[in-house]
Amino acid sequence: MILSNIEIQKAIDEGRLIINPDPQPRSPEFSDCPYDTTAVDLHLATSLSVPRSGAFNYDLSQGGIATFLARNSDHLQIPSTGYVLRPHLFVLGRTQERITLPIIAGQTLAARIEGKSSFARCGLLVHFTAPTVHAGFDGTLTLEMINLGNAGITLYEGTAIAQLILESVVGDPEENPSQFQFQTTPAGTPEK
Amino acid sequence: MSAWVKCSIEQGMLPGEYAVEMETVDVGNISLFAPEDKVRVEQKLMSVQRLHDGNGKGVLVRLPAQPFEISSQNVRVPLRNLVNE
Repeated sequence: MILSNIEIQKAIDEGRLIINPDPQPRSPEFSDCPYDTTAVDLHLATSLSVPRSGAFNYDLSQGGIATFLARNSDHLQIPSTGYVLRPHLFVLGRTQERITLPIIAGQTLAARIEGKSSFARCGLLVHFTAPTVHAGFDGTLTLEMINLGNAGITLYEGTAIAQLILESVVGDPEENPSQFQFQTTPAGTPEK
Repeated sequence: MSAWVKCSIEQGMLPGEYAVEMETVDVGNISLFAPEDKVRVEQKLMSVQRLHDGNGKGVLVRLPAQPFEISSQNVRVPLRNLVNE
């Protein structure tokens, strides 16, 4: 079930969802309100990472791919004049917002990150796989951005570039195998 | 229970993260991008949740992020590579 803007704000107030910084203003009477009816905007942080091209292939079955990616990427900051994402170029970015989805019995939320239709019409993808923000997640969201259009797209720090859709989780997720490891009765209490 | 696992640590692709490589018992070396608050760069340690001891087959731990090489955040690591809090 997708949460409405009012339910998203209620979840924030109750600590079932943490978005830092807190999206403001909440009222749609303000033009800079980050809430849509069923989503809240996320904004582009200043750092970008541009993977280099080269005579190599990524092989995820081999160890060390994270290190390899980091060593073969250029790191840059978006200047005040903006960063032009050229056609067919792939870059990584981050949201300014840190998202936390605590696992709370009967009240857990998960989320999905989606692009904005305005940027999509210019050819921008802000993620093209793995849109789900799983229950228990805590961190900023990595944006996998690619310009599929035929002209450059100027990106600015702080632009509302993506949106977060919140959903309620049915049932309580098991976070790890130790969570119920010592439970021997249906109620979860140790057997005497 | 929290613990620290020995690993190699380098700068990540983005600020606030580090590229980490570590040894496992059953799937060889794996790598991931760990949040900066989960690593001790100087000591080459990464924070993990210790889940259970695995009957001599390595200690099952939960990693702070998804590794590239496998689809689970839970892996078995050699006991000798763990440092308790």
